[in-house]
Amino acid sequence: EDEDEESVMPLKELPKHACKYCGIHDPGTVVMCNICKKWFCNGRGSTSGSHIVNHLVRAKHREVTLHNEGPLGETVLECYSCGVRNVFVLGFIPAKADSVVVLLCRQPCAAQNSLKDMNWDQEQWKPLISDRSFLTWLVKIPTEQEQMRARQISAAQINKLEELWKDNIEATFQDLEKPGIDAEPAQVLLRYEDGYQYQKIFGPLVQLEAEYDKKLKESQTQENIEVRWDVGLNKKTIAYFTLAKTDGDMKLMHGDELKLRYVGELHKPWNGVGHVIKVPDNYGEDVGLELKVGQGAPIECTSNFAVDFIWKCTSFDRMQLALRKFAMDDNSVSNYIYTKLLGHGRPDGTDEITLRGNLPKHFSAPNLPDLNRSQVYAVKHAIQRSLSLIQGPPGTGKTVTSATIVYQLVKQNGGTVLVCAPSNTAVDQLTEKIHRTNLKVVRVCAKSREAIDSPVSFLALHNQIRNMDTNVELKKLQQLKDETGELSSADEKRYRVLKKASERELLEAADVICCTCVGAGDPRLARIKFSSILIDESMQSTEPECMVPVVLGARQLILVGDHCQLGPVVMCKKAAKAGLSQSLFERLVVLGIRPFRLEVQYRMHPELSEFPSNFFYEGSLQNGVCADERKLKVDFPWPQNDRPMFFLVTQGQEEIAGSGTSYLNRTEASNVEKITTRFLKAGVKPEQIGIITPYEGQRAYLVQYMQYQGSLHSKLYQEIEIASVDAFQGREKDIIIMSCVRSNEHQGIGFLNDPRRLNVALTRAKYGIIIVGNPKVLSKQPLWNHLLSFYKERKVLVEGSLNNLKESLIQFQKPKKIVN
Amino acid sequence: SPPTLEKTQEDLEFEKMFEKMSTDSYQERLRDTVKPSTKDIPVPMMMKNSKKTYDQLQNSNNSENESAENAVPFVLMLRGNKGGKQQFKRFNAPSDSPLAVNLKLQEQKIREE
Ligand SMILES: [Zn+2]
Ligand SMILES: [Zn+2]
Ligand SMILES: [Zn+2]
Repeated sequence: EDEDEESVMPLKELPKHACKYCGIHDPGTVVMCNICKKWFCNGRGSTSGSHIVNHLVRAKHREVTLHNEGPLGETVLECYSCGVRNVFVLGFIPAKADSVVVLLCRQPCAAQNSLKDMNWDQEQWKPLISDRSFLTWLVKIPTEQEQMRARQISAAQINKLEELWKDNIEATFQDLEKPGIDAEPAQVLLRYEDGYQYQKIFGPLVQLEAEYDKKLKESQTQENIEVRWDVGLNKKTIAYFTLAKTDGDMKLMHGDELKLRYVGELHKPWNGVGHVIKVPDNYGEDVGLELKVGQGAPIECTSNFAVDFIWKCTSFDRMQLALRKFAMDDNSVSNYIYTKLLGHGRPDGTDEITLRGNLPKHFSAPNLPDLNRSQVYAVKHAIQRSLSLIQGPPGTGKTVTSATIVYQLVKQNGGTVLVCAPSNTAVDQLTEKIHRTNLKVVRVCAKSREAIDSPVSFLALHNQIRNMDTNVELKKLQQLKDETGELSSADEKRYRVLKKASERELLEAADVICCTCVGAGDPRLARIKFSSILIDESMQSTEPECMVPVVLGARQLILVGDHCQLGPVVMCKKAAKAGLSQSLFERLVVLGIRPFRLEVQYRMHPELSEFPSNFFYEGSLQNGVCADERKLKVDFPWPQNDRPMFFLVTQGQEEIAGSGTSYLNRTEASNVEKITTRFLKAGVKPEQIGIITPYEGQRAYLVQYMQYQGSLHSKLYQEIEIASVDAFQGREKDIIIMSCVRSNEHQGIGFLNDPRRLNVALTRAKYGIIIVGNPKVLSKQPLWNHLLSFYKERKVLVEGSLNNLKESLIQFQKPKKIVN
Repeated sequence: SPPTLEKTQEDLEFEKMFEKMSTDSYQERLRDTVKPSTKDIPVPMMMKNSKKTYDQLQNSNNSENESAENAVPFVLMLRGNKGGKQQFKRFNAPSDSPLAVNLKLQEQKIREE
């Protein structure tokens, strides 16, 4: 039913008359080869003859026709006198002192003696092909801009392509270097020749990830499911059930689509599709599935159900489309941004055209906190440039800065600003801040997520439509639909037309449109002009994901992120290895574009920020909070009074968790429980505490252990968030307790190796951090060795019971030389 | 402007092929005993009537079409399709093209005479 809006806008393919080599398709610049009916342009790119001449020579074809929209209209080039069409002997002769011209072959027509007596200036015969391209009054040469944005094809590639055409006239550039079926995908590059090469490298990686995702989803079918039925406030049927634990990559998310099937014998076979509205959490393991209307669920049955995961290709299709658009559509991004994203131009930006417009007097926005110096510079920097990178280390006010940039952009340029981030949570946070500045904000959600509540639900497009008073008819139909759950097909049709029009109206009137990166591929946004695009948390999206908003016409692009924190999640190892897990932000930094760094952190106790600042940010982080403002006013046995941190040496054995694919560590779990209970007893609220552990096995074990073994009421422990580092990125907690789990000699587990993950883990806490782990093993990693030495120097590497913590004298191992 | 790239092996090979194609085509025409038509190719009267001098052409062109500031309008005369009537197609040649330069010279000569 909603399919049309979940879909992907079709991209116009290049017209038939596009140059088969480079894709240029301005009708005035192309010529058709009469023999093979292929079109080529009169530009030469980097080769020593124009594309059409290259083709004619290599294919030994000799006749051409001009395009009907070209300067001369559809014209077959031929000798006026004898009609020969070989362009290699054709030339033109002007009339004597007249502005008339005629095409004649060099031999014999232009050479005949009688011509001398006529009105034609025989000596002025000139060939149609000069310097290996057609005369420009016959066929224009594509502009430099056009040639710059076209596929950069070399003479060698032209040669290969012509060879391919001898076997298969339909062959395309893509067939040139088709890898074998089992071949490793091509590695991502730092710089790309053109948009086509960019697409050629990223396209297959997106494809790999899509296939992996599809296989994963399709392999997740579960049987013997018991269902509990319920009806939601919106009168839709909800099925509650529990899925068996899987430790793999599969994570159920709000809005995911599942298919529920009845396979028992008490009812005829049935299946229905719905969206997930509740996922397992500390409160309960059950999943809530809101079924789409009109599927007639067998609510009298409660057992013998099966659940299938439905794979959706939408996001992958949108990325592929964005890549194609980037290559083929000149208007997808400005030429400047095109060049920069491909890795050309001067990294210091001195080749940049400074943007017009007067700088505002104040670089703040209404109802947002005043900015500090580095934030003001960041805003100034961003609004004046066509491309900027803003680096926001943890707690440095990235969201406020981004919101202020957006506010200033709207004030300065007046157009609609597109604001994206890879995750819905990040988009919602930023949406809320921008809304505070009184700008007109619309949050566009995927259809499948409309039922999910968020703090900015009232700004969502679907809700703003409901609250629009201007369209009475739409309102009535909406009411009818809400009450009865369904409309007659005629009413439904009318309802959709009206809704679409209202959506358009709202979107066009918006100052700011906010959505996820993939959400920017929503067809509802396709026709809106965006002057500026800001992408927050951009280091967490893959390049193709980032390109989805970018190709909506970026003239001014602001990437906000921090390449020292976690990058995008890529599940397919092959694709990750080929470089899909490197973000655009990171690549641009490697290319030498200096990110503008926010330098004052307002989150961590100064003692907590010291190590991350020194280790990840060259010591540049300043503290915007003092120790007093971050002093926990509860009784807790910190080993050093003025340092709310310690590493608790714990030498328990790790074991393989029940699922067989994850790990747990009982001794660490018990220590984590003791620390947690101590905090709770001292008056710390459960929501102030976050527990980080890298393994699902340990997470599940901790949830169970604390509820059953914890000495306080199980409800208290339920309210404590226990999750992976990745789940905490972009967020903060007053107290963080980290359980490292791994304790054996054979590691090589990403969690322990990736400096960015450690950075994120260490920078979530505002008031205090406690790490539970085994230094013997961890110290082998150079990174952890540094951290452990830091704790040791500060006399906060301790062992023993909480009531009697003593400095540990444990010896570290020598770190291995190789990192990663 | 695009940097002058070093010619690759394939470029040089292409240039050779181009030269060969051009000479071969010409030689072919010499060998073929195509009889040239000795009929006059009349310069169309309608063109002659509205004949303008180079300067006039440039001036009128400027007022009509600003985008082709440095262009001189010409007419290309084509054989009609399948024995049909001949066709006239207007086009602009760049004012620095041999075609336009030649026209200017011719007119100057006439004026001097
Ligand atoms: Zn051909
Ligand atoms: Zn071309
Ligand atoms: Zn001829």
